[in-house]
Amino acid sequence: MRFGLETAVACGIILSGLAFGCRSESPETGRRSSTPPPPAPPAALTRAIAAADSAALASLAVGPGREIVEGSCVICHSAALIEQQHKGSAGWAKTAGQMRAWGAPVQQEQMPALIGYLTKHYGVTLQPTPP
Amino acid sequence: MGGLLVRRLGGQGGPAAREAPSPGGLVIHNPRALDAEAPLSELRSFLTPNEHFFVRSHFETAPAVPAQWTLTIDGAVRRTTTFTLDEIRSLGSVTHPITTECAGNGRGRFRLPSTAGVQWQYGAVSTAEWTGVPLAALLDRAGLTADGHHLWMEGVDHAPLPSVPKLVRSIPSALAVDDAFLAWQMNGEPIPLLHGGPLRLLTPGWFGMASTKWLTHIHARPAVSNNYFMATGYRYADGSPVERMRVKSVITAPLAGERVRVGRVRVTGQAWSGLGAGGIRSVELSLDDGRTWQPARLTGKESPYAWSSWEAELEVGSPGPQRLLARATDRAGATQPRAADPNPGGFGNNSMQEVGFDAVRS
Repeated sequence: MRFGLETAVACGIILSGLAFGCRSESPETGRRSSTPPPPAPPAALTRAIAAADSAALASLAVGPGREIVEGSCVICHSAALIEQQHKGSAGWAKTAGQMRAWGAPVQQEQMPALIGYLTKHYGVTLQPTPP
Repeated sequence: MGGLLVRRLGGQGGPAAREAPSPGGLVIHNPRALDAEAPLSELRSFLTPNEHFFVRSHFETAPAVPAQWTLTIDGAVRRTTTFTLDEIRSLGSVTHPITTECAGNGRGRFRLPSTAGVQWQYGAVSTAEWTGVPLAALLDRAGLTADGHHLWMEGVDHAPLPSVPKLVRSIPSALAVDDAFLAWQMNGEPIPLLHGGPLRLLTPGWFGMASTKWLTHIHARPAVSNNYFMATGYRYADGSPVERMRVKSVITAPLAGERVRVGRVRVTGQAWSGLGAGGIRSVELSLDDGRTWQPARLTGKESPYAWSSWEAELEVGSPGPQRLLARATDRAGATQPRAADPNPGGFGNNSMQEVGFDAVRS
């Protein structure tokens, strides 16, 4: 699964760059555009992004509810976005409810387990922020 | 050139806040969609190299953009008008250095027990020279009408799930006519895909989300955008919208934890403000927890839209741990607070930066 996610991220970025491999023509004149395409992300950064995404997924806390995060949340965004946040149960319920309203594939009966997982592992805390 | 730093997070509920170097040039907070900040060591020059310019992505890191790029202006205009990139470029060009800061820059420094969003530190701010055309030139061609008070900006990016609303940021038309422009070059190169190429809006003085990446549509409307991210997302605790950058500074040398020799210590940094054109009036430094302050010299270019570089030599008389504070004051008279009031969204943290370093005898 880790390899699959990493590959998907890398391919997505690469394909974005390839979209500009086509001829660029004005829709009105049909002439080739003189505007150069935007440079694609550097390969080193693309690899680092994919590796960081895989590492974040692998480091999700082990426990009941993790499988819901893996099957629903990380469809749209990296697990890193979850791991760096800290919220109480009301905060996570609000977030999870918003995501579900926007189409995240979470069943209503899964919500207590999801919110419980997030609150237990990514709950309210004081972050150690070194100077 | 510094290496890329990956901020490793998580692992049984707590951010380890461990930074591991790897090649690339940015500190990755969120790999998908990419949110990555510049290492402070790479913010020492007036212009930030493209590979170190911070990246904020709402939905996609590098969306698939059509080869035949167009921008359409519709709504409160006399005629709906579609421009090709070549047509936009034919309207002339201007180049401005502009400082752009993410509204959440410093969110991770609020030290809140409960936090949402990307935990930015200090480096979600950068400056580039952008080349483009004033938006007013395009609005003239489309014929903005009297009831087009606000311009709703729409880019090509969207979430993987189509039911997630897009970000549709609006800015007042009066502001757009005076200051905003459409850029196709960044530091003399085509704007990289990561930074919104081939066409990006620049709204100087406002936080970065008002500088729409991958811009394809401008909808002229009588009222501000009611988009979720406008109406609910980017709001302070009192409900006011998150718009202009606040006066702020960063210390780029010495870095936290650095060892320096006792004696004259060179201190450098950047300072900026979104409050009015003209930028920064002064930067002051303290080594005694704010009891006394010493002025820094403002150096480099002066631009209404860009930060001011600053430097100073401070006398550090004895070895041991030191704590350095910097505070900026802008030309509107606003000064950085020691600690900004936190807000649930973690926006606009312009608290003074405090850098701890060690002074040693050679």
